[in-house]
Amino acid sequence: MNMLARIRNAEELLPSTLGGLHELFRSMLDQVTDLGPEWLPEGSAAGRALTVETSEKEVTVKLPLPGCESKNIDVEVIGDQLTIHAARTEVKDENDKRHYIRRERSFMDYQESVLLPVKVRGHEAKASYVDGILTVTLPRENPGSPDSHVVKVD
Amino acid sequence: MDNEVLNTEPQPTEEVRVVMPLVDILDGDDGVTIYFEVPGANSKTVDIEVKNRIMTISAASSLRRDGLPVVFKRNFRLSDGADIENITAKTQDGVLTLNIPKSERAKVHKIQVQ
Repeated sequence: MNMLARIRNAEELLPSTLGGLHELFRSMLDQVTDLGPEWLPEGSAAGRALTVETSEKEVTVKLPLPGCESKNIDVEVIGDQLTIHAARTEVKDENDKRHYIRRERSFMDYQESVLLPVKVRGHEAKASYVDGILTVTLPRENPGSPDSHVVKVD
Repeated sequence: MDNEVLNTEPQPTEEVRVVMPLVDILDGDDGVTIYFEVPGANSKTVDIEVKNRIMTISAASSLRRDGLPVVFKRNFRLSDGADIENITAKTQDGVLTLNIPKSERAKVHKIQVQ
């Protein structure tokens, strides 16, 4: 039986005569039982979504990369395209005798490219990694210039 | 207890955006380790509470979604085999690591056959 089966589901599946046995196994095996929803809500993905904000002077890109080290994060700017590559090491190595009873943190090797909304000075970009969030700040090539142009129709 | 279980799922509020953090859970001889992804949170913004063997993790993040500050939240029920008194926690690089030792009765005791 899956150790992670939720209590309420397991109780529905097991006949009442086996309830005592289930309780015994539960107390033996399940030190921790997840009480979250069956599904991963949309909000879970929001925890790792890339955001781009543009101000008059700069473009700020934020990407949550929990569990990385700054030395394992590469940031590259080519023209208006920003590429982020990050690698995370496994929490469990070969000699670790522990075993997974739940594994949701899937990313070990991550790459994302984004086309920036305005022209930037890539060589002046700065990046920081604090509390698992990568922040890249790129000065705009033409600070204060409008993002849109009005085209007159003849 | 079942009613309490049903009421523990994260619910959005007007003030914050509640997000369920992704977890890895590893089981070992001495206890269970849970790794929570809580980017933007740190030891000052993480709150861990155990009440009636229901453990609630709440971590305020510097992230914002839809203009609202993100709060990571997730609940677990701890069995009698968990040593609640000796749970330890630390945060690093947006990951909250929680070590939940097994109580003596939950540890494996080998019995020699004579």
